[in-house]
Amino acid sequence: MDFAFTEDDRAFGRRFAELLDEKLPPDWQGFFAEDREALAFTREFCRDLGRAGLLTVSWPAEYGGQGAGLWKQTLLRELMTASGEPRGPQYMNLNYIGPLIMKFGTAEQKARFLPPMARGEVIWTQGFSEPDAGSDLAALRTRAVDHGDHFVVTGQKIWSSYADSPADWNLLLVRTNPDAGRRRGMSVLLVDMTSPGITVRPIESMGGWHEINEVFYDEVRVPRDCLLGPLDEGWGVIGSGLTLERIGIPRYARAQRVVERLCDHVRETGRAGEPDVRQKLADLRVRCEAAKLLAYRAISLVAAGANPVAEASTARIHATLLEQDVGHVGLEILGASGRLGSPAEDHAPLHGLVKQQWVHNIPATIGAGTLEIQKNIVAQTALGLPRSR
Amino acid sequence: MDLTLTAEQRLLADTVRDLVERECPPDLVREIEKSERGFGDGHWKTLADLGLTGLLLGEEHGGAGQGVLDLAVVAEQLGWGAMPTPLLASAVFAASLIDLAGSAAQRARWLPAIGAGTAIATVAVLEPGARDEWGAPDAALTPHGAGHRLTGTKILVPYAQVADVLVVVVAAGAADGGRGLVLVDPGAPGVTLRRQHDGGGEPVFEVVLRDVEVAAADLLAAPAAADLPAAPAVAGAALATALDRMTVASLAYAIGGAQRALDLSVEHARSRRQFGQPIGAFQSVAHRCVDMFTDLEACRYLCYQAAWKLDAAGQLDAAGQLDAAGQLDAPGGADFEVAAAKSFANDAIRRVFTHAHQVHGAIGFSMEHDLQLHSRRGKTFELSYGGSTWHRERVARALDL
Repeated sequence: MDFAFTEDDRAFGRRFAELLDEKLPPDWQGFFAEDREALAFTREFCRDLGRAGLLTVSWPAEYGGQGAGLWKQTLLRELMTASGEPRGPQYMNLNYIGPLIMKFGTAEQKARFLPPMARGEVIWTQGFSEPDAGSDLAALRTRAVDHGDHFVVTGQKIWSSYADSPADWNLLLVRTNPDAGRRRGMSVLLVDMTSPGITVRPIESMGGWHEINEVFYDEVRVPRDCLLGPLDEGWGVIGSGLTLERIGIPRYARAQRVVERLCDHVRETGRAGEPDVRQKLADLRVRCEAAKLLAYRAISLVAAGANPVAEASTARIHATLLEQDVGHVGLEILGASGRLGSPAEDHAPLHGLVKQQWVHNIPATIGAGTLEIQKNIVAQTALGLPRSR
Repeated sequence: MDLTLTAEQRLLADTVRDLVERECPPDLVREIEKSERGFGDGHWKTLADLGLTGLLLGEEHGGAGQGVLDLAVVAEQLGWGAMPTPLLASAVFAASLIDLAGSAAQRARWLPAIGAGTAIATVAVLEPGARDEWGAPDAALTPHGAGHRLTGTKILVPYAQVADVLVVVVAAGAADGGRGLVLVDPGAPGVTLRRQHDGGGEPVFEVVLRDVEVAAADLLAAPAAADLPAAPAVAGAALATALDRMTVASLAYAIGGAQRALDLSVEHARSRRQFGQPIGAFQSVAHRCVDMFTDLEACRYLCYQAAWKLDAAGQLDAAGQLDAAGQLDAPGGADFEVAAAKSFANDAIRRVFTHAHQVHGAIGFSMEHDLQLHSRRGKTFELSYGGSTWHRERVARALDL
């Protein structure tokens, strides 16, 4: 058991922190700020990193990476997430879509899809949820009919992140065999978003413009060589991707950044001596530590060759509840002036950082499996409790 | 970075767990709790034979020279079995004080015996009305002839009735961090012990000290001790470090007990049927169990991190960078990590036992059920070695607030 990073890992983290200082615009609010310009910056930033070979440092060399270990990858992700994700939507490529293609893809698929990700030139979206298949994902009905050399997809997906960026490709979960039972008979398709028959309808959310979309599929033709993994076995493919997704975003790192900024703020405004403020900030900071250690526990198990399903959900439960409380409690500390939450407002404390933290994390306990689904996973996998609904 | 136990630590945990399962069944715990002695002689001998009484002590004192992290791994398993034992009071708290503040002669007199389990030491720190162990003591020395006399009242002193020596925390000048440390023979004239009952599973005592003779040789961290670093405030610094070690050790013990409460709850949720199904198939019950699990996991890694950091800070001390500030509440090497772990765990372990009792229903409130063995200890843990508010204040200071 060792709670320190190696000097090599720390040096890597320092280099990346310097790079971020150099590249981020002085008024950078983060990708999730209400600023459409931010997306253009993220594209440029990813291409820059890609050219320097830094976007996919954690990937194996054969897929355009540098084979940097899990912990360097973790430090990189922490810096990116803490800085408001300057990679924009492309973090998904690196965190789980790319690794899924590495794990389940054919040689041709790897050669075709991974290098553009490594160059930072491609935006992916995903299609899992449907209007009638949310937490009950296995109820999904979007149908892909097998025509031999191609599939024809018809149906509707919802909450597809970044589809209107616009996205170039889509990791799509569809039903290929309606007679095989709920969890059998699903497959994963890699879908070109320029295919005829696809319509994207952005959904305006409380958090801004570009997060979520409805995507309609009307007899969309998908070549057979875009089937990822075995036919009808898509549930297992997605399951392994979701474990990666649950620990892929170090949400605690952003929460900690906001807590640190709040600490600066109360020092600068002469409120650091208020006992209640001290207690609240200390509590939030401790919970950042707990969430971080739980993520590190899951990553340690990945490093040891295990698939830490329960640990990933445990880490996510702590991190998402923390993120929400950092928003709520942070705003409580700021008080009335915290109502001004837009960076455009002159008197917004911390340029609206804390209010943004609140609004963007309303769905933290909903995406990638609701809090209740995460708890069901832990109940069954870690505690051996009966399946419950 | 690697948050998995080493093969040696897993073996250590398995060995102690095996001992607890074989030799410390819940009925024996009940029997020991009712006994005058308050711990099992057989248990004590086994712990000593396994080298656990000397785990933290240096090889020059016959110890194993291992760290707080290894100790935490052991304590967690002892807590799982609710084993009543003076191990933490003697081999962690008292031994650390003697080790950190004692002269060569005092260390040679006590540490090998404590490490071998042939002597038991305990610390008298709390006084009537005290909120926590960090508070300023009233017990004080007054010069008398060649030595001193000690007067004061201590409460909740664990295992004082079987102790061979008491380490008593007394008031001292600011130069010593406001604290002094004195070795007292519990059989000495002027020392009176009276059993107290806090429900925490181990015997605790009021210790009244009335004009107790204290020789110069029984003062720990005495300025005259030639072999001590020429730093002032050794007593205060030693107490701060020993308190942190004890805080983490008692936390590990509490985590073990809370884990047992979770195990019992899951067992109950699987087997107890109502409305035609196991109650664990109801999400309202299952999710309480999950909340216990996720809270416990957080406590566990915060605890291990604090232990690891104390070990790392201890190595710094050994290299001659002893924290000379001597202030009990000044941010030290492991201040953030220890205070983070304890402040989180106080609240989390309270939640764990609340859920455990709710999942168990009425049967969990009965003395015949094993849950009470652990939930009583859980409350004692929460009220010992600093409350959440105090430790969060320590965190705030560590954050430069």
